[in-house]
Amino acid sequence: MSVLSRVLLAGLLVLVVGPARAASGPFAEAMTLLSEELVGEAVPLVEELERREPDSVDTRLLRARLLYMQGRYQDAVDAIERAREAGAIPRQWRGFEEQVRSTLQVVRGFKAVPTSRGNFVLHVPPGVDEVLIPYADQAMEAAWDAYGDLFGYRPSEPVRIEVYPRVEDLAAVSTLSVEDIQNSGTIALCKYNRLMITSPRDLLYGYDWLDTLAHEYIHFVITKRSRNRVPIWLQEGLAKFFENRWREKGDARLETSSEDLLARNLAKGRLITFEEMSPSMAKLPTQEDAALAFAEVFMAMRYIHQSVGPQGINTMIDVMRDGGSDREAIERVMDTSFSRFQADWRKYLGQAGLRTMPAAWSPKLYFRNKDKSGDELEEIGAEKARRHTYLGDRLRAMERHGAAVKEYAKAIDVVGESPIVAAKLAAALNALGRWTDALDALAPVLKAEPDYVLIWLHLGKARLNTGDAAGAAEAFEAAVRLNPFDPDAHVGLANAYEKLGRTEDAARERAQVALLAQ
Amino acid sequence: MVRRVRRRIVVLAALEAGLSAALGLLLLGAVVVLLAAQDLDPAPLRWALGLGGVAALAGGLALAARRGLRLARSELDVALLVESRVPGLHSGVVSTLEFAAAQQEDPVTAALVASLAERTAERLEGVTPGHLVPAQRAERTAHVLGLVVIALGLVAIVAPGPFRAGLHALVEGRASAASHQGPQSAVVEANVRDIRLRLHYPAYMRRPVREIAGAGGDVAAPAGTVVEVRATALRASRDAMLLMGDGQRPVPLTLEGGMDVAGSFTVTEPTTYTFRLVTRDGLRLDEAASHVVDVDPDHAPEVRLLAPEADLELNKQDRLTLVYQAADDVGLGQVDLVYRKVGGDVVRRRVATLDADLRHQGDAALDLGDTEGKLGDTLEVWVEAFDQDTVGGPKVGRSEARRIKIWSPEEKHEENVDRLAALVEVMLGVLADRLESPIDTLSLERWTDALDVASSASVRMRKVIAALDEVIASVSEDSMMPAEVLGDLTSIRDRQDELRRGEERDMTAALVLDADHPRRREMLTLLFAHNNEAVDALEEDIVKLEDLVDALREDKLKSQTRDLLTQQAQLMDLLDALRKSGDPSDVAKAQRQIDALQDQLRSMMEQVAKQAKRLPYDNFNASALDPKGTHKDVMDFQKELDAIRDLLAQGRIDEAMKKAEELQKAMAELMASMEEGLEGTGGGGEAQQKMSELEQRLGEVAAEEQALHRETSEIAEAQAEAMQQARGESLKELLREQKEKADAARMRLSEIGPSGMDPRDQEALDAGKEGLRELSERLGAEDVGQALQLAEDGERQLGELAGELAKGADAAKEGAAQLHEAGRKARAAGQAAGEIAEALRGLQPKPGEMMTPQDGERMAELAKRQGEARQKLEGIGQEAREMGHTPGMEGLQQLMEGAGQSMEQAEKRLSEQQPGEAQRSEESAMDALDRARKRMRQMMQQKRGPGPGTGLSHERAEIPKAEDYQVPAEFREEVLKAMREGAPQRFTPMIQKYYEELIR
Repeated sequence: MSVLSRVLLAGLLVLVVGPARAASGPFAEAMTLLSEELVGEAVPLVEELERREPDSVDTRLLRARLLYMQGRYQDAVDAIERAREAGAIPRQWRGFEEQVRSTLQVVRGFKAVPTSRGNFVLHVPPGVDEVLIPYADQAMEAAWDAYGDLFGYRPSEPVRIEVYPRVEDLAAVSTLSVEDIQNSGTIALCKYNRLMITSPRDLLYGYDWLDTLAHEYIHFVITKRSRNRVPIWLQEGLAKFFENRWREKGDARLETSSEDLLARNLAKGRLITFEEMSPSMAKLPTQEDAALAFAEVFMAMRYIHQSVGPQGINTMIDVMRDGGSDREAIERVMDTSFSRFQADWRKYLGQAGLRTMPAAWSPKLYFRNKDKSGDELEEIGAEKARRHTYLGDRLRAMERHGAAVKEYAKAIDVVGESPIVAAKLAAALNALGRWTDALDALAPVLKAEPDYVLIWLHLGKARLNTGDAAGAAEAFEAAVRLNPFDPDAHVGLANAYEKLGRTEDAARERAQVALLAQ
Repeated sequence: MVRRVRRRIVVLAALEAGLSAALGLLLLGAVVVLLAAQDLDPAPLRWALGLGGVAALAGGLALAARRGLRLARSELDVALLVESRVPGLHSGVVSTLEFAAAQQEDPVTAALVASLAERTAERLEGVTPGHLVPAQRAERTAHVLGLVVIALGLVAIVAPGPFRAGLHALVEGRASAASHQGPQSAVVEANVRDIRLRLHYPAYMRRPVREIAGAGGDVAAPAGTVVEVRATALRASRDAMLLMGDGQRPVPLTLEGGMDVAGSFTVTEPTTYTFRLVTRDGLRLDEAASHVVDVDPDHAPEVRLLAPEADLELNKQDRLTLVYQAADDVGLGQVDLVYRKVGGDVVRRRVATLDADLRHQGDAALDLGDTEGKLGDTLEVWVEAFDQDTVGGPKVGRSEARRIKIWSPEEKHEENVDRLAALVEVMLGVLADRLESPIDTLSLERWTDALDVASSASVRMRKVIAALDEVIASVSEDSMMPAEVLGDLTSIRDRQDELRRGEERDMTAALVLDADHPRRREMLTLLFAHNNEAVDALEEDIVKLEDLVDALREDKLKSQTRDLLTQQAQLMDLLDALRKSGDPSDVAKAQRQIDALQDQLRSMMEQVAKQAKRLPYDNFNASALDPKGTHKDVMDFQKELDAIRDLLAQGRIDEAMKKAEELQKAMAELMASMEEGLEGTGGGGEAQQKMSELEQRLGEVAAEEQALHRETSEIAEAQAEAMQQARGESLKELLREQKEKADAARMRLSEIGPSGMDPRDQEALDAGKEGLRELSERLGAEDVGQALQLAEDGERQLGELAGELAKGADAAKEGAAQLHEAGRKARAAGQAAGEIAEALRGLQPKPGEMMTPQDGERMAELAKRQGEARQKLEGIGQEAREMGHTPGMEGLQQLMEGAGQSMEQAEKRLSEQQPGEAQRSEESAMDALDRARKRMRQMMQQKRGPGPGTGLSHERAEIPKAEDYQVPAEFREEVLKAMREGAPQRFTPMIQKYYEELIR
């Protein structure tokens, strides 16, 4: 999820969740617990209310809310109907009823597939989206271990994950509009005691959906551990910083566009203060300010993590769970005043070696019904480079790959390390059988822009044809991780596995291709 | 004894059966022979005879067997018969026979039996079998047989012919039967003399009766002709007939005095006939030679198209005149002008109804605006002439067809844009060649390759430049192409050509260098530089051209969307009218409007498809590639229109209207997003963008005026209804009187004859009649508002016509009296219309009369809105004036001022609470606004006229009128033939005249 998208999400979540209120009586207490997403703790309170006031509209609606949080949508609808039998549904509950019904509508017919160790239950529409299951299983079980260790919290119940085939479905089950989702890039959510994600199938090139799932799972864990009391800006910082930890040990990478933004503003001495970020980044005046704030928070997490390690992070969360503010939590963990912390952190930033990159690129989500095939050209900053790339594309469509190579090379001369142009150049070189040249073309952008699926796809092809089956498998795996709906990636991966003698894995990939062909 | 009796019984039974069979066979044979003699097919008769014989024989045998078996089944039966016939036997015969069977076993019995037998024999003494079994039955049958034989023999003697003929027919077949009739039948050379024929042609031919005498009886006539035959028999006869055709179908003839025969037949097909006579002595005489009947063909008419002489391209508002010549051998009936849109249905219009003319020349006009053909469509037009054949049905002749293309500046413009797009592809190919050129290796080893590539690139560049020249020529005549495009294209062309010439110059120099020439490397470097320079120029020009094409297509799409909005507004008006009227014909109108909208949407889809580029983005998720953007919007609109169509079909007008309103909103949003998202034509320039913006705002004013008109109409209708209710019968009576007056005036106009009248006056007269007809209709419908409008128009138009007719009469050399009379009648009709108008004006409600307080308030609100709309219009006019003088601006200003005045008038009337008057002013304003918008679009499209010296290739062809073709076609052909063959002296002046005509 991009930095900008977090801004909107932050605002939305603040509005939806609202501040925790003091409990007074079992009904209010249960409602508070459900707002804090502490479903298990709310159950006895609801049962007690049902014993005391079984015919109350409120009690029945409370039961409906509990059932909804448990993912029992049909039961929740039935409970609402029973509440209606007891009396008129209060106006403030009507939105809830609508949401429950539309959620039921969306997930009706979904297939429930527990992961291999049973820690998650995937709810996917039957058919082509089932291609996601093995990768989600592998990733989420790894995430369960990784974040369980990191945050010291392991859910006692299997976590519900819903995969929606369309962005419109995510809008239907949440309070977001399709436009919100497309503009902010909020493609997944952690809310209502479940993880919700849009299938990568609904985007032109897919997206880093496994890291996104892990990101949402971090929100889930932190929410539970903190009783939903960690402010959004810190939540996002933590989730972004640790989202790759399920698959690699190192810290997450700051996107090049964020690094560029941060470096430029740091040079100008124009950073957003933490006071300005609190309580919500959604109140920042511009999207660029919000993006800058996210980059800063990411670096703050890195600084805190490097200073106090995971234990310090958990302590910070616990302080907030126990009623402390975000500032108090940081002061406590870093054992310093907040102003001193800010000064130290600025110093840290100055030493972090942040680079300004005029041609910086951030992975963009290309939405169905919104983005056009040529939109990615707009991501190439320089007009001249854009023109050469466009001409290269036109020539490649005419199968004049030699000429296209020349045009792409000219574009790279102008724009430098652009993952978009590099991938196109590699595609043309691969078409000419110039595999080594293709590898050379991709090398500069590999580390900097690992979230662009075409880099991995063309890299895999070039590696496979130069005899590097292991490298090819790695590249194709990365491509599948980003876009599991691209048959080229699965075919490439199957070929690579075969060369490595992993016939079983190869057969699985071929089966995936067959599934995609449905 | 018993045995003898038994034998007699059997013999008599057999005899009787044989006689019966012979009798039956004889009778059957006689009947069959006589039937065969009657020309019946003998084969079945033979069968009948054979089968009858067998049946008779079988019947006889059956009879004999039955009788014999019954009486003489056994000796015991015979004995009983004998005892019954001879008294006093006392069972002696039976007992003797029974005991005789037993005597072999018992010797005593044998003696007794012998004794009994002797006594019985004694009693039977003197009795013979003839006494016991008489032969009367056989004798009776024999007598009958004998009588029949005698009777038949007598008949055969008296009239042996039929028997002989019948027998021969049976034995040898029918063909030869006649020849065996002997003296009763004969074939003679001729039976009659002095054959006289009277031909009565079919009525449609209108030909007089033709008499043919002394022609031997042969006749040739058109099908349907009745041939009356008279002749004198060569022998006195008692019967006569004609035998028609091979089947010798008899046609009876009357016979007077035994010698004069008469009769008739109708010609239907080629055939023959002969006369047959039966003489008084019964001799049948047939003729050996037959008379021939031929059918004269009635040919289909021939039609020739004299003009236009070739296919044409015309404007939609043009009138096409076809000059034709038709001829028929019998007589022409009708002439139709027929056309169809290519691939569409045939439409025909009667242009002449003739009175069996053999030749006819005329002209038929077709206003292309009246056809369904749209800009860019092709119509096929021809003339069909029918004859008046009522026998085989009218035959039709058809002229050759002409293809009339309805000239469309939009289509030409679109073609030019397509050509530009195609040029981009060609240039991309050249770019690819140059980029892949080996020249950049700068290696002398590939010297030859380098020269080859340079030559090839040069040749291709020449082609590109030639294509650019063609496009430039075409674009220079494209009135819709922004001026800047021509400039851009020319500069691209000049640059590419300059580069080509430079490269060719050095390449030519390089070609003559020897293998070891020291300048080779220098030349290679030069060629390398040329190639790079050409690549840079191509890259730049390709993108520039493609941007241009994109912008032009976006503009086209915007223009289509604007038209879509206009059409949608028209649909709303139609639906509104339908809601009020509930008239099924309004449903059809609305459906047609939906068709038009859907056509427009399809055209937009094509435009969107053209905008799609061929790009190698092949790693998308297929499911994420749904239609999007404009394409999706357009598809959604199509679906919505389908839904509106369904609702209309179900009579759910309000729902259809609601949906149409939503659709209108969505279309307006699409337009707004397009206006916002696009920067306009690449070469459009600031002025054009400004004009586009003003046109958009003018459209908003027009839409508001339409809305005001709709609401005003509602109030006016409510007011009219209230007024009608209040005035009740008196109103009805008054309107009835006015209707009668209108009808009388129309009748007066109908009395005016066409003689000597100028065609324009004739048109005005027709319009006047039509106006009065409509006036009468509106009065009948009690639609006072419309009727008043029509009456006022009628008064004015007919007054003008009367003036024109009077002038025409004064100037006319002939027919002045008729024209004066026509003028008087027109004036009287005009005065009647004026009187009707006056009466209707008296019915108009006073300001605010018959209006609810709510409507009064609405009127005030409408007046306020009208004022605001007028101010907006003034603002637009002001901004347009500030743009400075542009061709067409003056006219535009006048239109906007006219609209402003009408709006001001409407505002005043609304304030005065006169909805009917306000309605009319609003209509004028709407009309002026519509025309102003069109003018603005024209100004945008025709911002630049054709360049100097390019000429106008789209000047409309002058279509000759019929009078230009008065020279008969035959004469023309004769002249042309003479020219081909070398003109004889006598033709020289004609040829001279012909050329003079042509030149004239």
